[in-house]
Amino acid sequence: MKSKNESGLSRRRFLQTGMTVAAVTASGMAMNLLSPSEAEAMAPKKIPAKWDKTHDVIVIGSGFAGLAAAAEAAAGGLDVVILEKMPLYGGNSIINGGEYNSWTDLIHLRETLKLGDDSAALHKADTLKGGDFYGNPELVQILTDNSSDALNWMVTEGGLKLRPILNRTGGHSAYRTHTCVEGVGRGYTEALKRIAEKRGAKIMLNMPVSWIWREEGDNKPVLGVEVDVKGRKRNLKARKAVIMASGGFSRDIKMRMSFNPAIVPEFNCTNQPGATGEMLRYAQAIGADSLQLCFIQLYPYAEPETGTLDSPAVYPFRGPGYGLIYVDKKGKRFVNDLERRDVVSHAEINTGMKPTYSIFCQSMIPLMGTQDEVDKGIAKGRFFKADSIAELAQKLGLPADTLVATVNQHNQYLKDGKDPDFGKPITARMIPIDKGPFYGIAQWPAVHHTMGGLRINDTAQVIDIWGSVIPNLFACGEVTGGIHGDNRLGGNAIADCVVFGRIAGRSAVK
Amino acid sequence: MKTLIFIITLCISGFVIAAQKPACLECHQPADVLPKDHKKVKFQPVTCPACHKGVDIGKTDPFAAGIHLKHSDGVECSVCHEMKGSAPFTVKGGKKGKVTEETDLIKDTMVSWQTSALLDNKHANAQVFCNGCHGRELPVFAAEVSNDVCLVCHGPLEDLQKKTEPMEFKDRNPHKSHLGDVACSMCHHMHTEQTAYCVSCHQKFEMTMPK
Repeated sequence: MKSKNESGLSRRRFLQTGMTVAAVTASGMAMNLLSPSEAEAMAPKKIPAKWDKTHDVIVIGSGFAGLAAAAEAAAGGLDVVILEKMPLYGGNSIINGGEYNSWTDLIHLRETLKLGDDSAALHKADTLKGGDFYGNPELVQILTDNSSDALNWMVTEGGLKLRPILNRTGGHSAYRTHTCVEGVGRGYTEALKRIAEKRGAKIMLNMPVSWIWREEGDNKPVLGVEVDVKGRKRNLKARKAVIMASGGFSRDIKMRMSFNPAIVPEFNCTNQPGATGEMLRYAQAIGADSLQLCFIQLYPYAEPETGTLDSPAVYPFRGPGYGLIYVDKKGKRFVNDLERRDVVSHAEINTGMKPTYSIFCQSMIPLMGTQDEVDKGIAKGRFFKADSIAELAQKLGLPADTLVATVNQHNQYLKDGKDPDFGKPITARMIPIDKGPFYGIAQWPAVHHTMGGLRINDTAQVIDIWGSVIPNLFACGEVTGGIHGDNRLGGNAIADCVVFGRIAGRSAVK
Repeated sequence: MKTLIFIITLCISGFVIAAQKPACLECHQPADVLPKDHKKVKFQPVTCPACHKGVDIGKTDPFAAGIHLKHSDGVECSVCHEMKGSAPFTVKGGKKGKVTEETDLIKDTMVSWQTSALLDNKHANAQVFCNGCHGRELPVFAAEVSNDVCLVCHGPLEDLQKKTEPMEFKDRNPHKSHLGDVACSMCHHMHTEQTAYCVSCHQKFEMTMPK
């Protein structure tokens, strides 16, 4: 494991320096110019004379995006293989928080629960605003127009089961955040895996891609990939398409700091160890354009000591729409609880005291989660439960008087329909924290999502640094950039991955 | 037909048979090995390659050859292949065969199986040979062993789950992961050091792999 990481680092280091050379010689000889393994010699990397195996479509990565892409490509009758570098399928998706934004769904949850109005246009507006308008409106519209269809597809074809709850979460102006029964991303990956495998796609584990082969010359296609299995290399040809669904780079400290030095090593990370971004570098090395790589999201509610995003860590995200509040170590509110993730994270850090806490009460639990999940969270020391706010304060180590005053003040704000302290938009669905039992949980920001990545067009084709399409190369999910802007709204990642994964898979068939 | 495939593949496998008793004669009589319409030969170790020339093992996949498929169900690798000593993985009674990347890998693995401090050696000591785990799967590049194979001896899974259930935090059970059905080999590597995968995210878990 260790040696794998070390060699990965040296390869990336080379790619960073090698990029200048690739750019200078970009006309004609640029593609496949440099071999990481032959860095010192600066030898050209020759396209394999023969291929060890040939498939129609090679998908890199087995998370939401890769599985969705594979499913659609396989539906088109193609021979599809998914290459997963880790010993487990699912990438970061399988440990994702399991939240999915969609303005509607096939069971009409919002209407049933009487949670007001919503539309694809409103979801689009929220998404663009939540990313400070850095997101590409055309791509955002594709995301918000198709997220419902993608959700319904996972339910009907993949057996995805949704909880009968709907949340309004940070940065959203409507109750549109769905949760699967499992309460984590695995619910969606299993549904997608079922669809993909039913349609004939095959997942190969422990298969790290070590190069993307692109024919030399302007506008020449991608031909296939090289895989490196424990030092033994094989070349796999893709007749129709290589689809990159390799995720982000939150677990690569050096890479994330090279784009955003403020994301210092001291931050924890919610991601699985494979989220290291080398595929992005390989794509850059064959001319792919990338954008907005400095936009890196902190998840405000991770477990403070290790940065884990476990089931309890999703409650602070789901809860504000029902009246859950955030307090600092002094027991005081410090932010509009319905704010976006970047705002909440920075507000937490600006308290100057680690950690911060979410406070909620019994009646919110069935609306935002399940009692079983909360009970399990208590058993493992994540949630604290008490019969009074004062007792809860004592259990959390907060000043009781201040916390009682804060909660009472907030209850009054709900009655008044106005939050003069932080300007939170109060809704009729928010519940005052006045009936016990009461609950609390500690939270702290951890590196979570890299918004930047490869430049794609509306059919998920990868665009090169000159603005042309790279033939036969597609990308979807977190490896792409330009959709979420400088801050991804919570619950938009799965929708992004599944929507653009499906588009990439269908584009590969054409 | 069966026997024809047998003898041809024996020869195309590229091992030049030295003047020792060929491995196949451990089990087969010459009359039994040779097809009925085969011309009469005096069955010497060097007989086959003398006629069946020209097949380069480097260009063919030795594991696609009939001989392995015919034998992998019941015959252990070590019956035909030398697994010990200075030249592991040659055919018994033969000279060293051509080395390809594949044979090299298998050779290394066999050395590990015999001598390492890893789980493969534990299996060797328990008389579990290559095909005990790999069956016919060995030839496939980057082959994985399915959990069912492991559980034949180490199962049922429920027992394993019981065995590794922590006293305090019962959900921190590596055999009952929140990741769903994970491969045994995710942590229990046979030919390399074992690793507790959980710890790659849950850094504070105290998890050690059994020796």
